[in-house]
Formats: sequence, structure tokens, C-alpha cells
Amino acid sequence: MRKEHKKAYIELSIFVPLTIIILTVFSIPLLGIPPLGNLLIPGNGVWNVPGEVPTAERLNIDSLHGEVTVIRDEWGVPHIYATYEEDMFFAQGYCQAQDRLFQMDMLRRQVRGKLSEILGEDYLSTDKFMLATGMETWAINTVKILEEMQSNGTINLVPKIERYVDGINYFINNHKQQLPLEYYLIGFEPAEWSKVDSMCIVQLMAMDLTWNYNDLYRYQNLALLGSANYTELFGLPYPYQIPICPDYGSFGEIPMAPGLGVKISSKVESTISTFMQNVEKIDSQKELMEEQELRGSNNWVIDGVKSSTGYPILCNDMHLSWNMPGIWYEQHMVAENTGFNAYGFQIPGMPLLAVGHNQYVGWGFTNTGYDVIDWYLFNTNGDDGYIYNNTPQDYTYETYKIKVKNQGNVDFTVRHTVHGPVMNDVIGDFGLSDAFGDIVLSSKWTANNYFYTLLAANGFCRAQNRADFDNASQYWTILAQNIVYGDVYGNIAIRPTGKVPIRDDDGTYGNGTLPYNASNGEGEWIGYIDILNELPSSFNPSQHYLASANQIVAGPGYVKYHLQSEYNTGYRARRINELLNQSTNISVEDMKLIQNDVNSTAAQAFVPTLIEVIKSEYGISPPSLIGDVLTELEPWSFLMSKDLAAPTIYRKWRDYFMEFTFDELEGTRKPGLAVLEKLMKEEGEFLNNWFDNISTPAVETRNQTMLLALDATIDWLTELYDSNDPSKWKWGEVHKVTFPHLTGLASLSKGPYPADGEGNTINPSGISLNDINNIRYARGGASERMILDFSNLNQSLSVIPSGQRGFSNSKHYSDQLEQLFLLGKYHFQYYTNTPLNFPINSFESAIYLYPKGGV
Amino acid sequence: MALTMLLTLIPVWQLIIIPGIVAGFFNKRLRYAILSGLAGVTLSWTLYMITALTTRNTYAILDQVGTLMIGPGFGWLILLIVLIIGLLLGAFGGGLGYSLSILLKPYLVQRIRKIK
Repeated sequence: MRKEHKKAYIELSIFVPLTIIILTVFSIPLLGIPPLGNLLIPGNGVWNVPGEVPTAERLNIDSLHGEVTVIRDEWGVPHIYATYEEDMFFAQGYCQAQDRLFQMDMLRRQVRGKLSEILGEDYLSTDKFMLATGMETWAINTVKILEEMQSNGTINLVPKIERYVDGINYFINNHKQQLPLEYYLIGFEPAEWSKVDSMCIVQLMAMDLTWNYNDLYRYQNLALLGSANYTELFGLPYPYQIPICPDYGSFGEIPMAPGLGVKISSKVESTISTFMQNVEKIDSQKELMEEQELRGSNNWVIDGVKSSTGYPILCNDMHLSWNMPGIWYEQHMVAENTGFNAYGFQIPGMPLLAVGHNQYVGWGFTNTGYDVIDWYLFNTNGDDGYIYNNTPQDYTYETYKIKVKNQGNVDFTVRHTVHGPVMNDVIGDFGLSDAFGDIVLSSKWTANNYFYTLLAANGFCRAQNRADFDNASQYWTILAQNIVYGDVYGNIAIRPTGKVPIRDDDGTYGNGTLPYNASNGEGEWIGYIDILNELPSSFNPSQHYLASANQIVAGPGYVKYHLQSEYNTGYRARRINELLNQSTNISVEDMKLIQNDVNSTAAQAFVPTLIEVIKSEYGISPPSLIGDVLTELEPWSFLMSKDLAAPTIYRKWRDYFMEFTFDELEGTRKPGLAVLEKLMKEEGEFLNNWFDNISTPAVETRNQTMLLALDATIDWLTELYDSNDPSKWKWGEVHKVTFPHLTGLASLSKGPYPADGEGNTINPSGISLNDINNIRYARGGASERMILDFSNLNQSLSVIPSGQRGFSNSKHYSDQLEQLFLLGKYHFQYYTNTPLNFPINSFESAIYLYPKGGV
Repeated sequence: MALTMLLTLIPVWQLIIIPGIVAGFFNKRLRYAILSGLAGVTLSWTLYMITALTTRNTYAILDQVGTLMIGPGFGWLILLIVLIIGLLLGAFGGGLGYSLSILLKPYLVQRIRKIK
């Protein structure tokens, strides 16, 4: 062998292994991170993530009938101008995918039990739970029935949904190398979209808004307190409610409801406790329970008598969890051939609009809190059956295959009773089934049915008047909402809408507020309340405004059916009513101030009494620290301002006052804040002295408990702020708002930002001060804000607490959050503009879609 | 360099070893072969990166990835690591190309003579 060949072999033996090592290290997943080469090497991964949409994009697409122009404004909001309506839906799907593909993918995966396929075994419990609820099954069933209805001519909707789906898939298939960062980080690719995926997102919203465990919590409270005491704290109606529909009287003199005749069983109690403890271990359900504390919304509308314009002004801000990107996507959709012209918000992955307006009418939502889920207890009858209405029955079974990353498929079988899935089976599969003994727990939920939500949305977007809108409302079933309405003719209305079950229960068994013993046949659903004719509603009321903030739907004059088992404590509703009731000549500018209002009606209800108690206890010379606290509280006007200390003192004191008063309920759910207000204001009027601390021999009074709470507050805040100067206990240091990324990745999240407000202000943001070492910042609140001016819809305003684009390197990832939302600002909707007169300063980019062979 | 730029359009990043091999193959000394492979890949990647960073706001993403892997504000380190990887792969490619050229040259010369 020649010398130089020998040398070459030696060199090769050095370079080849080194090259192989580098190529291998960067080609295999390490520590849960996908191959770094795919992620970081130029031409791959992060380098292909497009920050912005192209300034000008031209697409020639076979299936288009005519031309479509999509103009994005300076906030990245797409304005879709199509010649033909079906092309408009294609462009809607394309734009949503272009901006929010990863979010859409995650939403459908949640419902379809496909999280563990990409994220691994840790998500298997969530996947099983979601599949067991039957949401995917009913999404599939609904697509089938809509297709049948389309083929027999009952509806004309499915082709529109299909064009929307085509638009999404066109984007997916043509941008496989330009995906959002999250795909590269997790290491998967988007599959094609389907109609079922869109329907799954409707179901997910139904879960978010209506699925709950309230009946089970209430049973625990009833077992603990006994009927009389339970009724005193948890009986309906809740105190100080101002009904949404003003036509059914007010609650001024109505006493709380009488006691219940439900028998308590320790076996049932133990079943429920075990079930609840285990449900809380499932990530998705734990998050849902936390979200439910934030769940709420505001909407109101004033007529021309109250407005400065002589026409209605409608406002809406829906309160949901905050995420990056936000839950809502704004869009403007115009089709020449049908006159379709609507602007509003939709959840990415769904066609049409959920809330918004067209050239005639506008609408917005708040959650009704209608009781649309019941929990049923069955005695088992061997392994294969159960007792229903004193008769043995066999379970039916549904089996799912769940793909788990790095593990292959896992089979999962759900048993069904006549009422629905056996939910403690889901827990049982985690090795805990023995705890349930011979009782199974089954849920019955209105979302386990066909749903026509998109039919309703289609009707809303096209409505030309109140009658059209009402007609569409009857299809808005599984997402029970208070739908506020205004139109260009000067009408205002509200219709708390939804599919509400009628139970075969005169109240003996709790009327749906408690779990039913289905083995005795209790709590059968015998029908649904007629949405248009039997649910409360209001149209052009004499008070000239309508407002809802998740409070009670109707006053005592509505006696037909039981509607709500849980609703908001009512502080936001009290403030909105206070502001609208007293005012006239209200402008859009005033509405901005109201939507951003941080005056706490709750603080106003409690703090004056606290000040009174401090003064009566200590006279004119209180101990110095309490005197300093008084100095902060006395001049306070109840604004939950981040720069003040009084909100911090009030909030922590309120927490302690609640905790000390309801010490009997440790470990279970406490009553609403308004109940504490009533107890405080009407001390001595109740069966029980709730203010007594049951762990001490002495009998504490209201004033003593209030002062004990104050002492504890001072100690707690002194430690937290490391200062005994109350003026330094600024609210903004603990009250912060945060916007976590969908995956929880900190580097893609926004915040925390110090902020005004609290959970009970119109502009809401709830924090938790339970743990001094781990303050939970606000993770939910207004998920959008919209103000519609019916005197000139071009003056209508909106904002979302993120940005339009889900790409973290886009200027539209968080521009609305940082430049508008956190400052209480809004952007215009450019509703009446067209491609020909779109303001040049607001124009950012355009997509021109042509049929193949087009210009 | 041109070949490296071309290969950034192909989503099989492992092919980046090829331009180094090509550059190394046509050099007569190992030192120059390594340097030309290294320079070719590094320069072309630098150009690519400058373009992406200025037109696509890719630095924001690198910073987010840096935060995930190392800590806040380490986007530059990710960028540096990527460049070093490019540098190493270019250099090793160059070395490989040179060694291969030594081993294959007699065979190739023979083939060319036959063809002539």
C-alpha cells in the first residue's frame, strides 16, 4: 500500500466516526426533544417557520368558482371578499389554518383522544376521559345527520362546511415544510382536517361551558351540613340577584328555598368523594375545574333612548381561559352572490362566526349556567349489569383504540347505562375501581346528542331582523348562552338560549341540583324546554337596556321550570346594572370605560362594614398597624387599582373571613360570596351562627370573626411583602395577569403583567392568594371585547388578549394583547370597507385566490 | 457554497456533509480541504441565517428555543452552536473528501485514460 493511501485511511478512520457521531447525535431524539438537526439546522425546523404571511400571495385553485381577495389589516385580521359564498368559506378555512393551525390541531386532538399519540403516556388519562364523555361519538353522529338533512333538502349547510374544510386542507397540503414552531418542537405533522374535527370543537366548547361536577359537590355539602343548614347556605335563589330578563319580577322579598327531602347515604358519599378525588388527578379535568372559577362573561345592550347615537350599542366580553394564542379568531366575511357580510369572532377550526354582527343585526354571548348535566347512581348487578328503575339491565359497551407515542395502541372500553357513560370506569382503569364497591356513577349531558350549532351560526350571520335571528336561536342548543341582540332598526333583546332538560322531579330529589338514584328511577328527563316559547326572554324592555353577567336568568315570576342550579354571585351584574340604569346619553367611549371598569361591588359590600367594626372595637385609637390599615381602607373608592394597597388588604381579608366563617366546610366547596355578604348584613337571622369557630369552646360573633380575619390578614401580608407598612402592600405586586402558551411552554407564554381588577369586577381577573409561596396569577378573563355601534357599524370596535397569529415570531402573536388589551384599547373593524377603498395605512397584506385559468 | 445553499432547500439536513466532501475532493492538501469545506458551509449558512433573521424574525424563535433548552436570552448561543455544527460538518466533509480523493484518484485516472 502506498504511503499516501495509508495516510488517507488513517484520516478516514478519524473523519468518518466524527461525522457519524455528529450526524447521529443530531438525528435522534434526546431527553424528550425531537432530533435537534430537524429543529435547528438551516433549511429545517425553526428556519422554516414563517413569521408573517406573505405581503402578496397569489393562489390558483382548481375548485374555486370565482375570485377571492383576502386583505389583512394592521392587526392581521383577514377581510375576505369573495364573489361566491362557497369560495368565501374556502378562504376562511385557509386563513384560519394559515394563522392558527397548531391550536386547531390541539383542540381536535383533545376531543378525539389523540393527545397521547403525540405527547406520550402522560396524556392517556385525559384521552380516556374525553373519549368516555362521548363527545367524539356525537360529533361523528351529528356530521352524519347533517349530511342526511342536506341530501333530503332540509338544510343547505354541508357544502359550506366542506368548502371550509377544503380551505384548511389546501393550506396543510401546501405548507408541510412551513409549520408552526410547536410541530417541530413536539415532532409531528398535521393530518388532514375533517368535518368531524370541526364538530369536535363545538363539543369541546360544550364541555368548557356546561360540563361540571356541581351536583356531586353539593351532595358532599348536604351530607356534611344536613338539610336545613345546607339550604341556608346553598339554597336557591342566591341572594342579591338582579335577573337577566327584567320581565319576571325581582327577588327583593323572596325567602330562600325550603329544605330538601334527599336522603344521605354514606356509601354514596364515599363513592362521590373517591370519584372526585380521582377526577382531580386528570389534568384536563383539574384545569376545567380551575377554569370554572373564571367562567363567566358580560354582555349588555342599550337602546336609542339611552345611547348618545339614538341607536343601540351592544357590548360583549366572554370570559374564558387566557392562552397564547387566544381562543378567538377575528374575521370579516363577504360574499357578493348572497349578500353575506358578517364580522366577528370564531374559534379556529370552526366555520362561520360565533359572535359578531352583519349589516342588520349583532349579537353576543354569556354563559347561562343552565343545569344541563345530571349525575346518576346505579347499584350494580353482577359484572355485566346494573339496576335501573328497580329492573336489572345490561351495560352496552364502546371500545376505543388510543395510539400512545412510543407504545403502540391501547384498547379502552367504556360501559354505558341507559343514561350515559359509566364515568367511574374511567377512573377504574387506573387501578382504583375497588374503591367504588357496588355503585356506578353515570352522567347524562345534553351535549350527548345531535347538535345544530353551525346551523344556528349560519342563521345568525344571515339574519336580517329579530324574527330571522330568533328562528336561528332555536338551533343553538348545547352551548347554552344568554344571547344579547341589537339591530339597526333600534331593537334590543336578550334570549337565554339552550337545550334544558325537564326532569320528572318536583324538587323532592333536588331538581337536578343533586345526583339521582337511578336504581329507583329518580330524575328521568321527560323532555326539553321549548327554547322560543318556554324559556325566559326579553325584547325592548321599558328600562331601555338589557344586561347579563351569568346571574340568575329570570325573577320569581318565572315558575314554569327549574333552569339553573349554579350561577354567578352577581357582583358584576350589580355593577353593570348600576352603571347602565343611572346613565343616559351613553356613547361608545363610555362603553369602553364600562368594559374596563374595575370598581368592585363586592368590596363595596364588605369594606364599609369592616371599617365600622374596626371603629366600634377600637374607637378613635386603634393599634398602630390596624390604624395604618384603616388609613388605606377609609378613603378607598373600591377601585381595584394595581397602584393601591387597599385592594390587597380587602382581598386577603375577604379570603380569611370566608375561611373562618365557613370552617365547618373545610375540604368541601364553600358557598358564594354573596351568601357571606347576606350573613354579614343580616347577622342573627339564620338557623346557625356561621361565624362561630367550631374548633374553639368560645362562641365567636360576626365582629370577632371579622377582626380575627383582619389580624390574620395583617400577619400574612406583612410576611408576603416583608414589610409592616400597609401602604407598601400594592395590589399590582400580587394581582398579575398571565397568558400561558397552549403547551405551557414558558418561552412562548406572555406575562405576568401587574393589572387592575379582580374576579368580581366587570373587567375580571381572578387570582388565588391561598399559598404564600405560590400565588396563582390570573389566567382567565375577557377572551374578547366587542362594542357594536348600530348607528354606524364602521365605528364598531374589538380586541382579543393575544393576536391573530399563533406563530410566536409574528408581530401579530401578541400585538393586540400588549398594545391594546392591557391598556383598555380597541381596534376598528373596517366593516364597510372593500378591497377598493380599504384604508391604505391599515392595509398589511393580501391574498388573491383565482380559479385555475383565472387572471 | 452554492451546493450548500441549494441543500438548505432540501429537508434532509444530513446531506450537508456533501458540499464539504466535494470541496475537499478537489483540494490537493488536507489543510486546504478542511478549510474549504469549513468555509463553504459556514459562509453559506451565515448568509442563509442573515437572510432568515432579517426577513422572517427567526431570531425570536431561536431565542424561544434557547429559553427552552438553556435559559432566557440564549438565542445567540443556539445560533452559535448551529454555526459550530456547520463548521464541524464542513470541516469533516472536507477531510473526508480529501481522503477519498487520495484513495479514488488512481482508479479515476485509470478510468479517464480508458475513456480517452
